[in-house]
Amino acid sequence: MIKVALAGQPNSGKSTVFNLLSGVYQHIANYPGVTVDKKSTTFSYENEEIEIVDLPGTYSFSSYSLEERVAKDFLTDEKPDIIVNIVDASNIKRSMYLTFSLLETGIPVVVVLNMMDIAKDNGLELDIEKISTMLGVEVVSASGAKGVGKTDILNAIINTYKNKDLYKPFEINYEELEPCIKVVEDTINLDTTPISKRWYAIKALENDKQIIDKLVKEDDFFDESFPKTQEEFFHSTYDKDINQFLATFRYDSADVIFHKTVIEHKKGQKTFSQKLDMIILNKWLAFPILALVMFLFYQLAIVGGYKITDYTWPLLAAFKNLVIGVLPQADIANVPIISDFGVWMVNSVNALLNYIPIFIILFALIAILEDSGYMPRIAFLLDRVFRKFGLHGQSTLPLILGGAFTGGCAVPGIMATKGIADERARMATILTVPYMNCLAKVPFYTLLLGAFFVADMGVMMFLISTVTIFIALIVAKIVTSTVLVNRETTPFMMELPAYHIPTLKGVAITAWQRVWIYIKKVVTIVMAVAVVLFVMLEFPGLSSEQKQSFATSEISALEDFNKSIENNSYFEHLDSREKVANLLNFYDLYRAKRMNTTTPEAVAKLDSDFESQNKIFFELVRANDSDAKKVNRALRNLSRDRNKILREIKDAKIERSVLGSIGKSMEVVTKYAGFDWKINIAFLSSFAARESAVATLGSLYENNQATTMRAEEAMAQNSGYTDLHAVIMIIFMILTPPCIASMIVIKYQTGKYRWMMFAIFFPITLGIGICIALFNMGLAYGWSGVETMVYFYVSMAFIAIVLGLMPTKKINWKGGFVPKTRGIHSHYEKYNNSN
Amino acid sequence: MKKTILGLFIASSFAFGHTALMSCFDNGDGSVTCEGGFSDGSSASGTTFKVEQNGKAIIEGKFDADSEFTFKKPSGDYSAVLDAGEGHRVYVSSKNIVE
Repeated sequence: MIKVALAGQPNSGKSTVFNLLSGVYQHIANYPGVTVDKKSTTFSYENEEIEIVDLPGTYSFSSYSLEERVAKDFLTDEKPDIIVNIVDASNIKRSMYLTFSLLETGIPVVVVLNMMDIAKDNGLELDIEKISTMLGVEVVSASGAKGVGKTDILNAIINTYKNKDLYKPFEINYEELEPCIKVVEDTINLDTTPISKRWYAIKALENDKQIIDKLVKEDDFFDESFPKTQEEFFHSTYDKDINQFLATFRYDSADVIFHKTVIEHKKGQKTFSQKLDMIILNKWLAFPILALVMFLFYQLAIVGGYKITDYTWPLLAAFKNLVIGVLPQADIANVPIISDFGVWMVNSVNALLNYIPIFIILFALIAILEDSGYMPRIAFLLDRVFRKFGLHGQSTLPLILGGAFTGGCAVPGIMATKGIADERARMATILTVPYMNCLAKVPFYTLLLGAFFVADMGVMMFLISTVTIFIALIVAKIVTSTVLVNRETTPFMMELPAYHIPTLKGVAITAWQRVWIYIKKVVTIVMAVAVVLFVMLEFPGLSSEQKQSFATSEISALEDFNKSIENNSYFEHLDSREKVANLLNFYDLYRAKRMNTTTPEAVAKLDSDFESQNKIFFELVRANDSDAKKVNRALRNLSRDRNKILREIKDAKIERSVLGSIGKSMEVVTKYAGFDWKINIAFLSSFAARESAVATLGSLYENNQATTMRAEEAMAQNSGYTDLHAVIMIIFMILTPPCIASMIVIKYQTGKYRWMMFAIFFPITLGIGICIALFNMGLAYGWSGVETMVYFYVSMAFIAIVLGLMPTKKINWKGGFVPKTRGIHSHYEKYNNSN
Repeated sequence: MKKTILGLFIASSFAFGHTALMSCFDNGDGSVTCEGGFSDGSSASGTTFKVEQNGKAIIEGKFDADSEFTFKKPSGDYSAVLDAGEGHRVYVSSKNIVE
């Protein structure tokens, strides 16, 4: 078994090479303990088993980004036989920096010059033989996107593996630093094969915490003061910083390779990508183009994806009906708890699986953005604004999908944070997206606006939907300066890769992999969360008096039914409770299935299925003769009565449940914001039971006579609330988390329940705090609802603008080096010196 | 201006990730009952319901607590509409409403 690690810088086309080598047989998992994808593939070639693991893309091995840590861990712990280094041939000077870092590990390296076609288009002529001679390793040219170079790469791997014993460890001569390296190297007693001790020593001198910790842990005699002493000695002797000193050497080495092996035929001319950027990044056109791309994204992923769910939903519905068919049947108004639980679980899972078509499109589009090279440019355009709030240029897309300018959904928004390179900004974005305009909140707003702000509905809706972006920015600033303050930030690479045309295969593979992971993970997470919620809503259940009273209502409903059918020719089929219960279940199942059949042919098929199951019952459900019609009418009344009882049972259960008690106990605090326990329960259960708060609030304030009064009117009349109460409720809704689905996706994207809990409780606390303050000010100064909203809006906008204008701390990571040596090209430089 | 902004947001549907569903039955007594719902099991109670003829709404209301709406059958062809906003409308044509 040859173990190969695939390493390369971001945008070097590493994933296209990986796809080229592996085909579709890829195994995808996460690196232990982090949310970084680990792709691997195993196959045999020339009687050798080869396992290739795709390391995360990294610019170097010198910073503490998550990706670099993961990559270093893999090299030190998994001990690969060979490193295959993917190099962007059109940008040798920058790419070789990592090559030297990899060579220094002592593991044999195969260099793959990828994107040779682009290098050629840019007028670069590379002397591959010479590069190979200079580095002393196999060098292969390839073009992953064009599917060129597979056999060459595999042959190079086999050759290198066979001659492994002849490979001499690669060393860069660090001149003044050499004595220090020697000293530290001698203090290491650990067997570090296949990695050279020298590499460990250099890393320790670079003050690489990860490597030092490893040495301290695994080497009984090693002490972190050894490299420290040497470092201080070097610093005081030469007045040089080791990191920078080393970086200069590596960078110069890359420069030497470039000057000796590359001929530039089009020196001073603009490359195709640079010409394209003159349009795409043009001062006047950049933002309109970005807006257009975002609009298309939204249309295709959210609107288009939603349309597809019309066709995929019936599959999920069929699954649900299948489960219902297996579970024990209800006995009139007695639903076995196991059936309740089963339906609850299936609903929870289905709710998330229903997003799959949207995600397939979303992930495919993201893959296209990434592969084409536009993604880094989005970041480039918006980074300056977002940075100020601790976000990242790449936060744009998630925020838009979450509903930044129209209604959206937090679930795909959070899913889209995957590509954000900066760990802190990624976390901040995940925690910020739920503040965007979730579509599910709209009916709640319209209910309250319709009840209290009929005249100002348009203005209010505008305020509600635009205040969210200010809130989101403020929240991002808060979390990045508090709970996320110690998270890693990646220095922003203003490095714009060449444009590529994405390959269908690459996009399809990426999209499918991401969707598949989502399915696997979400199902497990949703199970855990749904069980907890079910318990919180179900227990302790009804009191014995309540049970008694519901049983009485059930009996009276049955008696009504009996009365209306006692002289009916069908009576013999319905003369026992059991028979009636069966008919009712038959009727319910028929209606549930009928809900998902749209074509007349499908309806006919459904009818014949049910008819064959129970001819008599079917006659009653379809009611063609007058006796059957009578039964049918009675049956509908019974069904309605029963549903009413079930709803009342549900409400009574919720009120007594753990969640209900939480709602009641929260009244102690929330009463200061004008929320009584009923509103608390409405909020809590709208979050938990996923039935819109409208239904909950509506049912809480239902007037018991059947009138034609709309819920809004009923609420405005019966509740004793004022427009101030209403606006506070709206503001609370703006600030609170949207739904379980997004909470689960937060757990999925952060990998920790901790963050899920934070994402639930932080907004609630913040919301209650703000609502209490506003409610009391509103009461004290006699503000109207609209005034309160305006004041809230203005203060949010003001805070956001002030935060935006505040000078932000310059980048605060440790152990990087000056931009020049890192090979960052500022956008300006990119234009003014072509390599 | 007010109108367009309002239109924009009212038009955004609610249960986003949920697919809207509706089925209608002719009760055989001159009335039709439509039952609405969403794919995640949530009820459509409170969602707008319309009966349209020649593109005009002749009956309009909201689904009741049972997520149902019962109306008197109009003469001629009509469509029952569950209207949860832009892109979330379910139309059931009277041709497909059978007893």
